[in-house]
Amino acid sequence: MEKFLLRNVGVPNSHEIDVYIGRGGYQALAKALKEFEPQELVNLVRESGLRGRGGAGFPAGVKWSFLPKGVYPRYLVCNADEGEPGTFKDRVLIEHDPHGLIEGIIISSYACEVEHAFIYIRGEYVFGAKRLEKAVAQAYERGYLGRNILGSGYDLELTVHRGAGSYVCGEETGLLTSLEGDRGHPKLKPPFPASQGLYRKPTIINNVETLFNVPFIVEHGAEWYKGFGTERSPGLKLFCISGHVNKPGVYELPLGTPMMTLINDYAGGPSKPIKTVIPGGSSTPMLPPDVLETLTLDYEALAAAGSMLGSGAVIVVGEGTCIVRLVERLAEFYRHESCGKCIPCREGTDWLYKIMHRIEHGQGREEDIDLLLDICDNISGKSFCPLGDAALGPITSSIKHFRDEYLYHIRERRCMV
Amino acid sequence: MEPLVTLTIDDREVTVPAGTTVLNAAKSVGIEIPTLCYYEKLAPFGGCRICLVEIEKMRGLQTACTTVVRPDMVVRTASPEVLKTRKAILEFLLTNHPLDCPVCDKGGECDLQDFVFKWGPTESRYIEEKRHKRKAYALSPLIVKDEERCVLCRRCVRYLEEWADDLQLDYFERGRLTRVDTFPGQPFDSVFSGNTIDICPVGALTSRVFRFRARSWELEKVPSVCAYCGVGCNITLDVKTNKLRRISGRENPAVNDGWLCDKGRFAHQYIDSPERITRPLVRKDGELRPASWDEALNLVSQRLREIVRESGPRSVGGVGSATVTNEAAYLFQKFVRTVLGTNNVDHLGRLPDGARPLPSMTEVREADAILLFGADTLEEAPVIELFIRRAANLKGTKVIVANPRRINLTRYGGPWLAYRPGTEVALLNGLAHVILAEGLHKEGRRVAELKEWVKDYPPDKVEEITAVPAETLREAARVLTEAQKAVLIYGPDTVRGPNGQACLTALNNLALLIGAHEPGCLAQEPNSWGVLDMGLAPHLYPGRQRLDDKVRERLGKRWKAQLPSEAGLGLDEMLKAALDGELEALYIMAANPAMDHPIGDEALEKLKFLVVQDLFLTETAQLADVVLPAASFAEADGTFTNMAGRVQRLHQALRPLAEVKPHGQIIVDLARVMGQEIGATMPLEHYSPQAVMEEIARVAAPYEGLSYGSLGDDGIPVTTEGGTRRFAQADFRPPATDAAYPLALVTGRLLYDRSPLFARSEIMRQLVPEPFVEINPADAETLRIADQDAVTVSSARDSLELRARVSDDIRPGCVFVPLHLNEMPVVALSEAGAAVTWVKVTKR
Repeated sequence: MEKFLLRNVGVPNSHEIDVYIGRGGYQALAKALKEFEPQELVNLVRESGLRGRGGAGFPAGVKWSFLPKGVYPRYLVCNADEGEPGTFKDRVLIEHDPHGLIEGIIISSYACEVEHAFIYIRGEYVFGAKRLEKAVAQAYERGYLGRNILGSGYDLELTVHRGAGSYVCGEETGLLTSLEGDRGHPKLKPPFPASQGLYRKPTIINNVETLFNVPFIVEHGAEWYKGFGTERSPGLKLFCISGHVNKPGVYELPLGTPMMTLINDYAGGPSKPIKTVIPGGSSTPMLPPDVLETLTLDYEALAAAGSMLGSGAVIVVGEGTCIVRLVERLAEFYRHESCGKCIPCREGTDWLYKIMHRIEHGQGREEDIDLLLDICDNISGKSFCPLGDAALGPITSSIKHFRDEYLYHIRERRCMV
Repeated sequence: MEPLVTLTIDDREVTVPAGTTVLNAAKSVGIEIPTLCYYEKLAPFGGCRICLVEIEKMRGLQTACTTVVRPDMVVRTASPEVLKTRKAILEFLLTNHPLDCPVCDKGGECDLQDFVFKWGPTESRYIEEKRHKRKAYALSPLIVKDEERCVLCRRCVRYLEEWADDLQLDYFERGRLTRVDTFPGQPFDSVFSGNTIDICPVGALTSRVFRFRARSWELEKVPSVCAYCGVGCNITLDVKTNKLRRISGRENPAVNDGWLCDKGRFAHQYIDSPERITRPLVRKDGELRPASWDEALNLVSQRLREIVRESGPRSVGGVGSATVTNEAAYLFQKFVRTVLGTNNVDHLGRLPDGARPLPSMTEVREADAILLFGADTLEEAPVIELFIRRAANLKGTKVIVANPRRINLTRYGGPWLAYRPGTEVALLNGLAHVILAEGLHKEGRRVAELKEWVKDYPPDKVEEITAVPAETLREAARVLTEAQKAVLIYGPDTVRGPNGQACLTALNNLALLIGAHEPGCLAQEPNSWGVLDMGLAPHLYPGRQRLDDKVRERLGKRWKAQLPSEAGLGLDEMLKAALDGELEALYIMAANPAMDHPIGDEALEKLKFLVVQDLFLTETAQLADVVLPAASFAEADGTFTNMAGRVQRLHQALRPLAEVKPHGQIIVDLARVMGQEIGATMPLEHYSPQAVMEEIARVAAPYEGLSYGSLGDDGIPVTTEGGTRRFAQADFRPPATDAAYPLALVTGRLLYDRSPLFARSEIMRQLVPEPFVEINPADAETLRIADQDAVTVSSARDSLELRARVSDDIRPGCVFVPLHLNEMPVVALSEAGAAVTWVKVTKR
């Protein structure tokens, strides 16, 4: 299949502006500035059906249309705080095709009438941040950023900001407070960022991959884009597959592709018999192998199967992996990343981890299983931001599908595997 | 008027104004929803999640504290899911709470405790080890922090952000490790720190002063009024076994809105000081020795009678203070006028005639521009500072500071008019000039005259005189005139002295010109207005009536006494007369002129007979022949009239120690010994402040109809008449200078000082700074003085030995010496009646 999102990955020096331009880069920008009014671009993206690639899947064009009329300045923030375990798709784009992202940001900023955009990149992505900074400098030099871009009269500043290392900064309000120089804590909504975001001004926040799609839509049109994927999940998607497969990595596929196609045809097949798959990043509920045969990779099919497409991070878990140990480790991650602002998440994730730790270390009690589920119920939907809910997926789904393994751990005080 | 919204909460129809939160809508009909992070005076936070409720057609539960009502909303606050969630939140908190309630100061008034009692789990499902954090460490000299008890509601941090604007606490670490703390190496020294204790929902922040001194349910709660400054903050005195254990803020939106400064909250330990005088003292063989009340009062009676008989009533006088109640002040002046037969009665720190009270606190809080002229609210009226900071910080209220010193409020970007002392009138005339010249004035009548009067004060010339840059002056004029609700506040010293009346006139002109309320005086004492209303001044009868024949006759009839017709001496004159030997006896109530008056010390030593009634052996009491032990504000009933003219009730919370008596009682007892009945028009077995107030209400017009019943707990504003407001000419007279003493002395109070009560309040007194003189780096360089050098500050009259504090907080050409910090009276440097005190500073 022809590659679009990954078309420059693997090309020597793909991060250099000349290579990018040589391969047709910044053509979509020229077209957007020349042929489109901002509102027409918003309409185009809305028609394309492009949905947010950060995990929630909210239609990007609809989000853009929430900007209150006539309120300026507006900001656009590219969320490059790729923190969900199992997810590394944005990293590949940032490191190998930074100009593709920048072009997407410029077009999107123009569409949203933004004159200052930011890339908030997670602190651990040192290499990626350096690549981006260099690429931004090159774009300024060539007049793709700054004043009067390509003679259109449109001005845009783009700032790369490195986070200080916190999962919760991937949550949009947490990201904004961190970007403002404050402690990265989620904020109350409403007001929503589209009306009062960065510096209390209207702000659009989109994931790296979402913005990266925009130039292709401009270049080829909404109809072309909708030709990929399913009716309700149109378009192209990056899947980053890891775990027990022979060729882990990032693959570009239309939404709606069968899960087994990804695993077998792209990722080289499982390296061990599949025990479970976590389909959309560590917070998404794990699925038993029997549903995989008929499962397709789109928002609706995964929801129907009781999980989520999330960020497109497919983690394949092979036989021989202790589920209790796996879940204990994930619980530790969420307790470590809980920001502390709200009680259920701060106290609940700590408690969940302590129980998981006890079970894993042979100190479990049978009533702990129900206790875990009740604590999850007490966090579910009650935390300030989605982090609390994110911590629950691995626990509730693993108990649902692997209760026997928990019981074995508790009764025998050791692993089943 | 907001439109109304009707919704259903727990099957009840509720109608509230649009914009109300579900929480407050429920509260309005008595439905309780628990909250921890929510506090009504702070912006909603939504962090604790304990107020989650069910709302039909909304997915999941919603926080009642942040959700605004909508028409036809159906809310359930007690559904099974809501109750399960509430219980869960409490269970989460208890998993790591130390449950050391038996030794927690908050026990009995702890929200967490109460909520667990009502909604919490009855059994613990938590078998893991609890987290351990720091327990009982000193967050500051005043506040003890227990990190294990903290529920991380962030109320303290948010209060410091939204009110005090002292960003001294914040979250550190993350998740389960989160803790509230000071920044590394930085103190928590906000003078508003104690409010965090009141708003802490648990026992995480506790008071060093109150620590382990009572269980909350043992406390008797007595409403009262703070006796430290003129704001008149409403407080609650918490008493157990006749000891004052704690002071906390009391809700009164018209005054302090529940907030307190740390001085008012913590500096009450003087009441239990072993240094309190508990028995009358009589001088025998040159020493003050304990005596009985009979002996002491008989001696006072006999000596005062002798002196009046021998030298006439003119040879005696009474000096009171604005720290006593209206009732005591009223009785005191009545005693001096009827029993001693003289109008020689006054008090220390009397406000000049023409000074006016502050507009109501509401007007101050709602102002969009405030001119603070020669006053420092942080040191003199902290809770007003709190209100101004909040307004400046959150609403962008402009704060124009006219002060030779860079006070804290200059941080809001001013402008700061750092004038040369003695040039106040020129500065104010200059402001009027700019406003008229630029046509910015709102009041148009009779401006032609004013224009003429201020024509010689164009900005450039004002810059020459005052050293305030012309552009700053113009900016100040613009800010003042752009405001919709400007409030002008001045310090009492600004309108004292030879230029005082001109200054007052110029301030009035300015206010009139911009259409503002009459400028208000930042009265410094708790009862500065009241004692004037009570006639504690040589030229005023109660109700501020002038001493004319008609009033004298009417009052004489009521008081059943022949009132003296001869004009009385004011404090300055009485002390001068004492120096000259013409005044032979003084009766002093709760004042310390030996420290607070330029010639107090020497004048008092000349007296034949001195009586002092006070709490402590002050420098003045040490000179007395008889010292009478007086009650503190917590040991007597009475009223104060605050700086906005609000009469407020103090309730007796403690029985006085040993033989201590309330000020008013002492006067009544002495009068009886002297053969007069002055307590009230009714015969009195015991001193009854209530009866005295009834008499005041009949005698002093503004207090007409007031009674303890009508005052209630919130008090009532009384209005004393101001004059007609019109423009008048304010003449600027350049202050005389003295080449030998090139620096102008600026004095002022500090909140934490060595005044008699504060200095005897054990824990707080460690916060008093060492005595210092603040000098501008430019002057310090010329004089080769370095920071912390030992220096002598001398004037033509006297000198003081101090440490230099080199800082550009004081403008060049001036030095700042705080009052009441050292054992030497700072006022001794000044010539009574001089506009500016000139000094020199030399290195020792």
